[in-house]
Amino acid sequence: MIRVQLSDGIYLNIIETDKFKTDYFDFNMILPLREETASYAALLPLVLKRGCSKFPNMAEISKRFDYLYATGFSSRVIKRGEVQIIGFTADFLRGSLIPSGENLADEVFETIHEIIFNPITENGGFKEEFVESEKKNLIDTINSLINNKNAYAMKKCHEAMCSGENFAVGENGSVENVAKINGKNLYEFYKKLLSECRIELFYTGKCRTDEIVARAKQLIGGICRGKPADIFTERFVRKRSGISEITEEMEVAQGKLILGFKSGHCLSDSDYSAYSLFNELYGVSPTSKLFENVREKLSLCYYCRSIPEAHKGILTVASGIETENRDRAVSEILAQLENIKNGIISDEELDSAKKALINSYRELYDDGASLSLWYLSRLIGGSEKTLEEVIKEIEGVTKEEISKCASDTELDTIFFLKGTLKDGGGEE
Amino acid sequence: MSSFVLKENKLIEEKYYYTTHKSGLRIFVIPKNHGTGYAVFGTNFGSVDNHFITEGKEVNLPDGIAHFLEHKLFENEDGIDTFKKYAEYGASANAYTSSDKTVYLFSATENIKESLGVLLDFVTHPYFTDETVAKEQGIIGQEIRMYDDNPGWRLYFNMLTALYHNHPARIDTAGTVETIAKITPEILYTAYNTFYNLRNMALCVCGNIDPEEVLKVCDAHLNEAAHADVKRIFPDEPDTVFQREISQKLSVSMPLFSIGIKDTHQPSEGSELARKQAEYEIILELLFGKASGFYTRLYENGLINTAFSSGYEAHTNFGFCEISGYSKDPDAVYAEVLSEIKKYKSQGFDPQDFERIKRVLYASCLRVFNSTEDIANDFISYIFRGFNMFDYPQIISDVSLEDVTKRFRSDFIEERMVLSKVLPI
Repeated sequence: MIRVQLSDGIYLNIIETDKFKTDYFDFNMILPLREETASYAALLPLVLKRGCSKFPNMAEISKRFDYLYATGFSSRVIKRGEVQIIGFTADFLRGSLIPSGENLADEVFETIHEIIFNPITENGGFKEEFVESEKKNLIDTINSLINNKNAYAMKKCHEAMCSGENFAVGENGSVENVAKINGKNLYEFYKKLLSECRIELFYTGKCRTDEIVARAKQLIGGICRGKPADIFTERFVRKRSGISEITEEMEVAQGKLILGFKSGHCLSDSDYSAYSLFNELYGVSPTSKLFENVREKLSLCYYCRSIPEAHKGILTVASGIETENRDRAVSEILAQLENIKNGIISDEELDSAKKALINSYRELYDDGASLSLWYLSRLIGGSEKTLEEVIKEIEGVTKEEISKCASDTELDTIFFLKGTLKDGGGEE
Repeated sequence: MSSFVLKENKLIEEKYYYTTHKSGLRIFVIPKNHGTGYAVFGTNFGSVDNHFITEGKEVNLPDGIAHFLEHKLFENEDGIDTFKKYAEYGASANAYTSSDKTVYLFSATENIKESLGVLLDFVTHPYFTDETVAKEQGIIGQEIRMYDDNPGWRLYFNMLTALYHNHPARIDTAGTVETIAKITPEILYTAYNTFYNLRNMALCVCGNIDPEEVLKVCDAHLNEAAHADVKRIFPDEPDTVFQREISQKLSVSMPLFSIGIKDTHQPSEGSELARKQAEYEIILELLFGKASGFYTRLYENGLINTAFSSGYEAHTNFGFCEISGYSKDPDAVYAEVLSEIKKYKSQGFDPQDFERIKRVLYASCLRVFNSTEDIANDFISYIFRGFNMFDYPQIISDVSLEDVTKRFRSDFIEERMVLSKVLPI
């Protein structure tokens, strides 16, 4: 990967490859995740995508990308620790596959430039019609979290663990804060964001470095920069000595169990790779402790997996179970952690976990979007290691280091979404 | 001396090798310069295939049998779980069952030959006991419960239930807790022996691998299959829909809708099916694509959001269009869909829009070739429907505005449409 600084706090990362039909590009604006601004950040890309001076409505933008051989253009708002990322992504066909042989990159970059930098304004703000309509959509999105019961339960567990901290803020902010936004204050936020946020661009594809640097410079042309804001995440610290147990009832068939742990390990730690491997061995692959025992031996669930939040220093274990099996599942999940603490790790388990994790990293090379996101997450977490460096570290991790990771992992909160439906939902 | 036939498509800069192995298995190797190798080994046995005649006997199997069998094949007589065998070589393995096929797969960045051996070996060696069947009933029971709470899944299967009177497409892939309780090792062996005949199966390997190496692994792991003896039985299915509307209440924040349109041109396969698919895809994109007047109008009126989508599902024995999304008012969306269809029937399609959509579909065909996973999965899915994905870009470009207009006028009629809704509790 080649990394080029384009301006103060603006970087372009280039991954050169010719194995894809399409070139992939993303544009990421990175800012601290804060209660006051999260909803503004989440709303901004939705409003920008509604229309710009050159393509004044959604249909014109869609037709433009259709014309560019169905260039895939989308936006995303995600969080990593206490950092929020507004991203625009695009992928477009390579010139050799287009009947006329034209290179689409220039036109794609121009179009994205128009959308991000030349929005429609009125009375010194964004077009109110767009803002009001997208506020409704964003509120619907925030409320729709409940449609995915596992994601809902995860968020509730994280909120309980980190109440009062920035990490408890959702990537879309809150309904109350969305309501406060109007065309004018969103436009002010946008101007300030462009001047202060860190910007990371990724390009994966077949291109000459000088050409892509020139295009990227044109893309950000006219940007007015102030001093880039710092982005960092406070490490999770437990607020209690015991365990908090929370149960919420819902009319669902299956109970959702979430165990929230302090992991004590963050990406910025030089030895984070050991924790990645511990996580793999504990609850990722089908040969992990959780899959083999909670699912295969005890037949309690279809899924049981561990998910680290590497920026914040939290580990979450998630499973879907029958309500009456809650205690059995909790005790087995903890017993498997205890086993790892006590060094009950076979050579085969260690070897399998290493191979599985390394394989999943190597597969990233074949997916431009995932590879870019992997590097972006690492950069935000304060790690500039390459994928190959991380793979090398994984190879060297010992059983003792994994046991140490398990010992550092302390249970903090158990959240249980208790199902009250016995036989699924009834038809009307 | 290679038995492989090389097929090349210069337009899309892709090629593949094809042969029928002496065991009876069809083998396809699609070379790609990716580090990730991806292999799929499957049979055209899916959730709709539970009624058939084999060895002169008529057989009815419980709903969910194909999916249950998929889970159970991972267990082996030597007591070593298949995932453990793969793990030794660092492969990531999985499997899936759909309405018309069961597919076993792995991806790997090294030891591809060894993992291919594991794949061929476990799928051709069934081992079922009362104990392991009972264990799986608990696991799949939770999988079913998980889907019971998944609004999108319920919406989709309710739509199919409304669309079909008798066709087994209306049955959930995994069956129900009650139907899987009936499954025994004997039933699993019956299903296995009927449908896991190499002559009914296909292997697709995509990645940086020599076709001859694939052949060697097949030689080492596969024996010649007996003559395949199965005749599938599908019930008579009227052209009408079973019920016009269906709804279910679930814990959701806002209503979901799925509008189904029944394709009554059944059965069809091969290039006829592919052509039909291309025509439906063009029609749906013209009417309901992101650049369409319909999408813009309903989005701006707050009736739909970006989750709105449309698509056509093509199978050899059934097919349907689905238009789905979230809306505060699903009935209003349904009325708008009906009036949009009426409008285009009277005014016809714009030739410029038609050309734009063909360009869009051409590009989306090519995009599949970015990923060895997408290539292998699409390839086998087309093969089981008697068609080759390499020919699809040409099929799309051959479709004329007249073809599309004709299909639209004959197939998009209200009597073949249903509305499925999931509403908040």
